[in-house]
Amino acid sequence: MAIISKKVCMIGDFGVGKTSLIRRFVERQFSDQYLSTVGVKISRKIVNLQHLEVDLSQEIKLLIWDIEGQTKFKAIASSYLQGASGILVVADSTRQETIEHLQDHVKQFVAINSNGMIAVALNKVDLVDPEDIEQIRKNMSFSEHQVLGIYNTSAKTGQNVDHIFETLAFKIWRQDNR
Amino acid sequence: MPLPQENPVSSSHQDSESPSNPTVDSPQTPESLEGLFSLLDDLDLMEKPAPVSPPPTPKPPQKNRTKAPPPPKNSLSSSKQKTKTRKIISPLPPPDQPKTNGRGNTEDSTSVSPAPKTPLESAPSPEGQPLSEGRGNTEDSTSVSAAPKTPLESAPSPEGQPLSEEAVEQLRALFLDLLLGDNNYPANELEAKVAQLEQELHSPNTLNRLLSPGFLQLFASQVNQAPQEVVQALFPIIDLVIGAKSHQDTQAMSKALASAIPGAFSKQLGDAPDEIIQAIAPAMGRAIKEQIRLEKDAMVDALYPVIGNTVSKYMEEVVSQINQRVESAFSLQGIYRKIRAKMQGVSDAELILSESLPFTVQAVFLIHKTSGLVIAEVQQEGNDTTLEADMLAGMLTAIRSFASECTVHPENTSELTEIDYENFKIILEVAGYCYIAAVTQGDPPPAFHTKLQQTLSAIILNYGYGNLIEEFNGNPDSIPRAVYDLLKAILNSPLELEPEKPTSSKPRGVLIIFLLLLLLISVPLSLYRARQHKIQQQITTVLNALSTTPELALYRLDATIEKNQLILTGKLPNSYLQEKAAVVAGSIVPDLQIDNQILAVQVPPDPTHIEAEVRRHTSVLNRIGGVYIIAVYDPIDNKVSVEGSIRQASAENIVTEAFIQIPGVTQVIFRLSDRLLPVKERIYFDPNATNISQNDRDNKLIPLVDFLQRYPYIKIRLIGHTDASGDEQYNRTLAPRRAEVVKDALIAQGIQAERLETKGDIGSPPDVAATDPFWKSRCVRFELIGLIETNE
Repeated sequence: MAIISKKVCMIGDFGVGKTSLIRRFVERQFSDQYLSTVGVKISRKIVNLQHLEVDLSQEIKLLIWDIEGQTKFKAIASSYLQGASGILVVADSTRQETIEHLQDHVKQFVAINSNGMIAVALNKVDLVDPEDIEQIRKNMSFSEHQVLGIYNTSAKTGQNVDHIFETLAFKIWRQDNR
Repeated sequence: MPLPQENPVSSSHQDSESPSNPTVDSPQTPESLEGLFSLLDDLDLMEKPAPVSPPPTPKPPQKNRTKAPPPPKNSLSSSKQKTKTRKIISPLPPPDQPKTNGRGNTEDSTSVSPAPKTPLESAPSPEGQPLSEGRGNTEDSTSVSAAPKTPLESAPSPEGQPLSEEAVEQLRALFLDLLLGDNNYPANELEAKVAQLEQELHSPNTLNRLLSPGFLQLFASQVNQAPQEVVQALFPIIDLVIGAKSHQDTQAMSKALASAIPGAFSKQLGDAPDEIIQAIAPAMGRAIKEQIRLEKDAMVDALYPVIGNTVSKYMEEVVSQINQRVESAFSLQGIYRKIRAKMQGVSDAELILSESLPFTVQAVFLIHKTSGLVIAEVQQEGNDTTLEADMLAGMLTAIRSFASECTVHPENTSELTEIDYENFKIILEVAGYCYIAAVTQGDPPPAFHTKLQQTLSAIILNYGYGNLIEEFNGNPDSIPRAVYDLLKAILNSPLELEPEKPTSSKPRGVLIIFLLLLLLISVPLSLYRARQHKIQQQITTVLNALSTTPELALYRLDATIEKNQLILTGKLPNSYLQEKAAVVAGSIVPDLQIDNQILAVQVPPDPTHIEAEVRRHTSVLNRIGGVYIIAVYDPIDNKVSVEGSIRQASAENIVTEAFIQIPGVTQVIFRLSDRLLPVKERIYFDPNATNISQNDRDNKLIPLVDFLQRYPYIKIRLIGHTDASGDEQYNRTLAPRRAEVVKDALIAQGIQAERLETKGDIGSPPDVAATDPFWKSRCVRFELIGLIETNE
């Protein structure tokens, strides 16, 4: 069975850990050193859906567009999101404002691609007490049906990193094959 | 480790029979010890085989054995000798370790030898434990002194000093006491001496002096006899040894290895060249760079035979191609190239050079426009490196997106068409939902862009329907094989266009011939068309002149020009008009002969048409100065009666000719008089009055009524005037009032109100000057307006 390629974008405020999540997922590495992404960087990794469904021997080649972080003065280039089958919206669980901007990012993507899948990542959970994370999750809600869920992630420890990418890939594939 | 020196000892006792004083032999202490060994050998204690029989070893020199004192045969000394020979195996404990049990060594030796044990020997001690005080140490010292069989004179201590004379003396005395008479020393003195001896033997220097010669000999012997065992013993630490030595003295290590490395390198290159290549390859680039930095000229010299030849060969081919092109400079192709060079703004030589450099396509990608996914890709086979299609496509798409985001004007729909690197280019051809990216080397000719356009068009036309490309889902299996074939065609034949397109000089030649033929046809055709255009202009001018001539305006005439001859055709009612038409036309085109083919036909007169024509002529003629006429057409007699006044006789002829030319008019009758027409009369008023005097009613108003009744198509305008004496505002009311009064009088006489217009004017009539009497201005005058309106 041929490998199916899919474009996935990472969006979120600056410094939330988008690049670190990709690095952890693709290169299995992590670094505390912060290097701001300029423009866009593209990474690639093949995901075997067998991890999620044993009977499914489909491989998905994720082309992950790491888009530079957004601020209130610098919006995301909407053309980067065109053609994306899904996005990973990332927030820093230690910075409330990045969590508050999640909804804006989701809406922007839905406006461009109403069929794309969306996964929300609360990153850097290793730096926050579990009770606080639970409180944050309680305060979050998304009305868009494309949102798969909210995942507690940590690029540093690797928590849920593979899972969120693989789940996103699986949902994208399943949407094509419904 | 087996003891190596037993046989020599046993064989030497034959030479050591002669007695000698051991103390005299000093300072040659080893010789004295050797004498002791000989003495022990004489006791035949060394004849017993060792537990592990060692391989035969070379015998040490025997030259000093004659100096050994005669050994007394004593069971004790025999026992000690066995112990001594065994203790060489046991490692010596460091001198600073606590001495716990000195009898262990004795136990070890007993396990080797079945000889009777002395109390000293019977004390057990585990092997490897620190030596205890007393006899164990004594045994160690003896074993050390007995081990080397080489002459001690030639084996100095590592420091180069001879053995301590005192120690040797004490050792000798001790053994002599033991051998010759144990009763000479009290027990405590003996122990003290043993302790002293032990202490000295624990000195590293002493040990070194004692052990070095024997150890080296033992090592050499072992290497010869069992080299594999030596290897097994050394290989765990050999890297550490080399590393430590290299760290300590790099130069010495380099010197030691220098002679071996080239050979080793050559050997490895022969045995496993891949390993050498893999080891060296990563550093080759940097090494070459460094060498170039250090000594560029040497590097150039080294590479010149290879690169120089390669460049020469390449340049030969290029020059050959350039020569071919230069030779064809005056051919059709050469001329075409010169034209292209001019059009591109480059020199002929630059164009030739760019065409000579090979143009190749390394890879072609069909990429989804928005997602950047690779729809299809083909790459040259045999390349060392394969381009990462996904990454390249993604980055190209990102660049395109970035450029579109940066576009200031939203209506700007320009596209990214080329990315130029130093060594290669990426040529882009963009369509609606996909684009082609071709990675090329060399200067792409224009035909390549056409090729890309043709390929993209073929893909879109043949496979773009059904949303195959627009909704590409990343599955390469969904793309037809033919798409790959089209991309391969770009890769393999980048300049081969579709057959229907002109590609070579042959079609261009046909095109030129076609152009020449077109030129041959078009020039005469243009000349003909120009002439026709000129003729048509002349005809139009003639017809315009005929239609603007009043007499001819009503009739449809036509004109053609053939061979410098103007042919007039049509129909006119009489020969006069026929000739008139020829005269008018001749005045317009004097250089042409006139062929007047107009027919003069007698058409039945149309009274309505004639009457209208009479009115029109009347209106026109009244514009001539001094002409005030009214013309009435009589359809019964076909005559026109003209009334009024004509001041000049010449004007009378004009009037006659005008009416007689009207088809159907056969006669013009004048009823002219000096009197003005009634409309030329004026009704005068007293100051501030609006009433009409009886005189004016009878002499002016009644004739005007008759005139208007006789010419019912006439309309007149009544204009009331005032003098300049009264109030202006008052006069503005008075002037139109006077006109209204006259109008009412005319209406009262039966004249229709719609034929009468009124107007007030506080000024004097046009022909009354300001200096004239006021009464001339207090009037109502008339203007004919009916003829004009009727004509309309």
